[in-house]
Amino acid sequence: MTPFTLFLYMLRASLLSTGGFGNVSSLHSDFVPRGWATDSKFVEALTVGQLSPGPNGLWVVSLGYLMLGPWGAFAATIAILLPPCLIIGVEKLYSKVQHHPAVEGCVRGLMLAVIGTVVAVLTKLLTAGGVDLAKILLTILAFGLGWFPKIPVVAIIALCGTVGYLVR
Amino acid sequence: MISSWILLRGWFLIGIQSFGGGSTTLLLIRRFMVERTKCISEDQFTRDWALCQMAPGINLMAFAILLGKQAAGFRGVLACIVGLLFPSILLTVALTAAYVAIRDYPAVQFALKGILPGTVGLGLLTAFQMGRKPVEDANKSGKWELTFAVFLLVSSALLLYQGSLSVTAVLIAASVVGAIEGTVRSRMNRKAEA
Repeated sequence: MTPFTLFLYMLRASLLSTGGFGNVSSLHSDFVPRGWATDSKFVEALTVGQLSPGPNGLWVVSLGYLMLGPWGAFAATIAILLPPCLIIGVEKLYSKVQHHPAVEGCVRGLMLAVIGTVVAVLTKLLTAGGVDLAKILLTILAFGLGWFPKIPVVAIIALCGTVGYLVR
Repeated sequence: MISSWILLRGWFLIGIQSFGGGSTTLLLIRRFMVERTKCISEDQFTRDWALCQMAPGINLMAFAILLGKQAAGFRGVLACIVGLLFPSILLTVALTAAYVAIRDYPAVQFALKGILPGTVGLGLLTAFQMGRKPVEDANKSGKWELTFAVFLLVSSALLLYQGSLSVTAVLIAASVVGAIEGTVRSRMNRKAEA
């Protein structure tokens, strides 16, 4: 795989999704079966994405780096930079057609399906190495703590890491 | 029109301060663009943010592009997007490189066993927060709407989880089904009114 191939896959995934997270499902199904990335690389990149500042969608830059080094990170940056530029066209077009029932329905259907597929991939990542009680409890704990905006994400990840280290 | 340098500086500060995902960033952007520099009105800010939910890719980047354009044209777009992304992309790469350097230590591997469910939990929370609004909207429109929304959500998750369809196929199918449902329902509503 070359940085350019990586760029094309990441561009397609970003074009077909909304939100920084929506592309996780297509990238996972593009990269893992072909052996270009592993489940653990996805988890590592998602973690770095949660820890670093800026939009959460930058996890893709971390994935690019883990797969192909600095050039991978560069390819990923360009790939996630281009789709949002379409907002300029969307702004003009959408004001004309936004109240058309087919457009409304199409956008709603896409949004719901993006969320559904993200949940499916996260479940796959969680269950890949087998399921045990500790895993489920930690997932619920992070979900619950993340609910409070005052608790920094870094603290939640650090807590989960410490628990993982202690119960090994 | 606001100077591109002021925009670049402001968005750079937003970029380095926005730890912890979207909501902090949104707050910082609002303070800078609406309250401090007043180059975007309250209404415009809300309307733009709603519009960016439709844009492909990262909503926050689309938002930076749109606000930059409205505040200072093409140079404004450059200032906002570079300011927002430059520090955070550098930090993301640095963190990843640091991680690669330490990942083979056994302690790191054990910690990762706990971090995996933590990351999945935070991801599920994001998905939950993303899904709440469309489902609530559907609930307001009626029982049939709510059933349809939940059906789309659950069926796309199941289809992908058991692997019978690719992600692209699931997304395209859901858009088409959504468009058909939207058209049929609006026709039925019109008939009921007539």
